[in-house]
Amino acid sequence: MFKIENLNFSYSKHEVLKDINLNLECGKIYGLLGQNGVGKTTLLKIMSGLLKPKSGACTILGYNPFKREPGFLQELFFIPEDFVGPDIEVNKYAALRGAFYPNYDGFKFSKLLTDFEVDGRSKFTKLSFGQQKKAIIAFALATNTKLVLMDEPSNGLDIPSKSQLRRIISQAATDESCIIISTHQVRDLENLIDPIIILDTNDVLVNASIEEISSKLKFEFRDTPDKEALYSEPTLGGYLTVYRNESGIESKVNIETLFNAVLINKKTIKQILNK
Amino acid sequence: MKDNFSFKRYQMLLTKELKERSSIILKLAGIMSLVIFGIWLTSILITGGKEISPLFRFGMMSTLLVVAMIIAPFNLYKSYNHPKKGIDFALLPASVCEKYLSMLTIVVIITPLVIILSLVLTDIFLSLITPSVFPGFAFNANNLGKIDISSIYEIFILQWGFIFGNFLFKKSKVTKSIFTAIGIYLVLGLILASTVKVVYAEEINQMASFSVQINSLDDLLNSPVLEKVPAMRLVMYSIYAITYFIIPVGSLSGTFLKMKNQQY
Repeated sequence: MFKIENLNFSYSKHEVLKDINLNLECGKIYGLLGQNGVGKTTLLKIMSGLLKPKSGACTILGYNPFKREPGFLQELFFIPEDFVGPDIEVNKYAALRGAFYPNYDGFKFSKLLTDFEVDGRSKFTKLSFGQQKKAIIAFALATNTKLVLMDEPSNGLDIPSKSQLRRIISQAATDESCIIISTHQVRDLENLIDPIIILDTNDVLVNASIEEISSKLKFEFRDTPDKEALYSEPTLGGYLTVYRNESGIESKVNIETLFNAVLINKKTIKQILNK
Repeated sequence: MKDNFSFKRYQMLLTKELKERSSIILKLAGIMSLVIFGIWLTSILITGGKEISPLFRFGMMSTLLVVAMIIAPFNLYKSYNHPKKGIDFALLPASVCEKYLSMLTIVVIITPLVIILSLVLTDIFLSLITPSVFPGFAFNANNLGKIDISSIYEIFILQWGFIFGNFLFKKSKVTKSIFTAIGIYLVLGLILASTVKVVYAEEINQMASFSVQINSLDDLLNSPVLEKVPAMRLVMYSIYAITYFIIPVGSLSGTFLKMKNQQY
């Protein structure tokens, strides 16, 4: 349904994405991770039709995103990291735009706004950054589009709002929809994102479900660092260590540790996960 | 075809745009009316209620209308190519064609009509309460009869150029658009002047003995002088084609292409 083949993109001479290949499916909430500048936002923008790839193909639901055809736009919602709302009431914004989305549910929007404790009668310009973000997330989920792209959705949200966000996104996910969340705040969205995509400048290092990862990698607490381990990092009370999973016993995947492990052992972990 | 244009979607988009942008249109109309009000007030307070003729007011209102038409795209659609604010409109589920047409409908038709209405109502109101200062109505048959179609078209050409400037430039849109317009006309003028001077030197010498009253390109094209100098007639037709056809078509199609290919 969502296919990216040999995708290349550069900002003038600065190459951002090189030969990227990805296949994404409906019914999942993907976590898109990567260091600063590897092109997470760029990838989301290409998928939403805001940027045109230099070469390669990006096919979303059979559409070429950059053509921005109404049929495609009706099935996509992109939430940018720093959303700037217009100078109108949140409810008015939703009512005027909702009409363009065939599956928009005004009832769901009101409920989500209530859950997020945002007053729909307020103008966007009168709301804080976090509240504006919650309002646009509520609207995005109420459009019931097949693809929702979120760039750092938890940025600017307070602690209670982050847990509300996790709950709301998990409730909103359906078998027909695909949600892609680009984030640096892995802990905010742990237990929500699955599969995990780890992007590097020239490669997709990981595109695997939590189940696949835990079947191939083992996460263990140790008192001391282990030289045999793929990676180990100090934590309170010991070392969180990543091994090849040779026993077949699954362990809880710590996404932040996985990310750090992948960055240090790009080639090895990619090979292990692709076996 | 429905992907490119659906009347229902266009209507929905136009309604949405009008509901969101009506305050800006009304503000613009209000400011233009305030200028007329300011002239009226100045006359009462400074010149002791000196009469301001309908013709002068009509000229003033026409100028205000042109100014409003030129600044309207910058006020109404300044965010379209903004890397953050423009995303909302770009990703709205409507085709580029529908977005383009709704933008033109608002900027080229609706906004000028609202401004004309506001100016007319202000003038009527002020002339009714102080007939000695504002005698008669500025919008009367006599004044309206002085408007010719080519002048109206020229105003639209100017406005379409500025609409294109609004979509072409990301920063300092107004300044860059004004300088580009001046630049284009200067370059065109220079090219034509040089061509005429070098290529048609002989004809120019012939023309030295002629005299003609020229107020517009039409006067020049219809002048009997040019009939005697076919080469100059060709040059004048080129100017005519560039001004009345190539520039407006280029502005309108350039705006469409810019909207279609805008990256964020």
